[in-house]
Parts: sequence; structure tokens; C-alpha cells
Amino acid sequence: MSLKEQFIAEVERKIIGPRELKERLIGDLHAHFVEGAESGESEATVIRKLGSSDDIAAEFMANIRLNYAGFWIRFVAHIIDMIVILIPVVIFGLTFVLSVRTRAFATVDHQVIANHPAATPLIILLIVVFAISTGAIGILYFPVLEGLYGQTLGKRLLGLRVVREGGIAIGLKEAFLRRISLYLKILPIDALFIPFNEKKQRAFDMVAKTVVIYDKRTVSTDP
Amino acid sequence: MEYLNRELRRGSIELIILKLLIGEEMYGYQIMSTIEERAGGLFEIAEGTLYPVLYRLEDRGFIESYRDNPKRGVPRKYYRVTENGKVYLRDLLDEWKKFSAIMESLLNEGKVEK
Repeated sequence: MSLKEQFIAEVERKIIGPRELKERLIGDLHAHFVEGAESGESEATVIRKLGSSDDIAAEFMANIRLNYAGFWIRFVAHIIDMIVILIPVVIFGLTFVLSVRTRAFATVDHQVIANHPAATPLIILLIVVFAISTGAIGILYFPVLEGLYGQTLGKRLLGLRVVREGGIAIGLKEAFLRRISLYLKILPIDALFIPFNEKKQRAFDMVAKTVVIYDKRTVSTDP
Repeated sequence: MEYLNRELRRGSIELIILKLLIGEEMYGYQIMSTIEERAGGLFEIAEGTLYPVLYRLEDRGFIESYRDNPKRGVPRKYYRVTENGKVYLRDLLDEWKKFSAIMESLLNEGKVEK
């Protein structure tokens, strides 16, 4: 990818809004580079004079009104995400139960004993892998997906997106910050803040300066 | 402070753009090159941030864009000021002059002269 493509892609990634408005900016940026080339400017020079993609995105987003998502729809999205996270747990549990049934292991007095000498360390290994991976999923699912894509599966299904207060895409830092209440198990209290402020933020949204919006329902602030 | 600067800048940028376009219909890159030429030493403008300002002026009906048919191949998007835009420009200029006068007054003697 050329410098120009990279830069324009960066800007495109950071802005959200009605498609025609995004296309207008992206189109004009492409044309701008063409003009720059014709005037003998290198792509690097054009990029330097254009300014940072953050500044351009911020100026673009200043014209966009965000539609904040409220408590209930975020609650439903959260339930969906919880189910998604539970799937690997369920699968592993089922596998374990099934292998007991098929006599790979056997249970006596609720103790799992192996029918094969090599099975015991294997069982222990499997349990450890299970514990670590489900633990990792539980911790990483939200911040990684939200930090990289702005959406978890639940949010995507319901058309929600996590963005910064100005409307620009968030990064991993904000994604982890806003999840602290989940890790501390105080998310329900955190969520109580939602109906009581204009931007429908949880307390930890305010800390991370993030908001949850309806992805497709942004509009221009002009008539 | 950052917010105030941005708002102030936005207001003056609109003024600059409209004044330029009254003089001559221009395309985006041209507007930016002209501004840089005439004021570049004084303040650094991130040219990319000018496009959304153009869009705001256009969406509010103060300027309009059209494509020309050049011999060179890619059509350029030119901007020109509308009648509403001329009125808006006049208001902006008025405001700017009043603002400068008041600032001058305040900074010189601490009293606002009417």
C-alpha cells in the first residue's frame, strides 16, 4: 500500500457517519493527492501538509451528530456477548462429559480415574488449558474486540458501536479502561449511570471518555 | 483552551475561505495552496481539516460546488459563493471588525469604546 493509500485508509477508519458524507471526504482526499502530484509534491509532503488523520477525522466528526444507545439495548447486547463467551465453556464441558461416557476416563465416587496410565497428566493438562483459555476469553473478549473493531458480536448484531466522545474510533487503551467495572464485578452499578446523563455513559465510559452509539443512525448536524 | 482555539479558528477559516472564493472560484487544493501561500508562515493549518469546513459551508448553502470539464482528464470540484453565502460573509466580516475593535479597545485602555 502506498503512503497515500495508507493515510486515506487511516482517515476512513476513524470516521463514521452517513455513507455519502464519508465518500465525499475520501473522494476529495484522493483528488487532493492527485493535485499534489501534479504540482510536483511527494505523497509524504502532501500528507505532512494535510495534517494528522486524527485532526481530519475530528473535524469531520464535528459535523456528525451521534445517536447514543441507552440502557436496555446495551443490556441485551451484553447478554448476547455473555452467551457467546459461554459457548467454548459449554463445548469443553460437553466434550469432557462425553469422554467420560465413552470410557476414555471413568468416574468412581465422583473421582475421575484414568483407564490408561498416560491419561492422568493429560486430564490435568486439559483442565489447565481449559481454565486458562476460558479465563483469557473472559478477560480479553470485550476489550480486544471493542478496541480493534469498536464492536463485540452482541453490539454488532444490534447495530451498536463504541466510539470516543467526539465520534472517533477507540483504541485498546479506552477499551480496557471502560471494562474495569466488569473485572471488578461492579458493572451493574456502573450501568446504573446510563439513564442519568446526556451521553448515556456508564461511569467507566466517562473515565475512558467513550460512548456507545447506534452505528447507522448518525446524521449530519446541518439541515 | 483547546476548544476555544478550535472554535475561533473555525470561524476565521470560514471567513478566509469565503473571502477567497468571492474573488475567484477555486477547487479545494487551490484554496489550500492560496491560503498557505498568503499566510503559511504565520499559522500552520492542517489542510485536511479545511475540507469539512468547506462541507459545512456547502451543506448550509453558503457555497456550492460544481465539476468543470478540463482538458486534463480528472474533473475538478470547484466552489463558488452563493447569494446566501454573500450575506453570511458580510455578517462574518461585520462581526470580525467589531470583535477586533473591542479587543483593541480592551487591550489598550481597559474601557470599551462604543
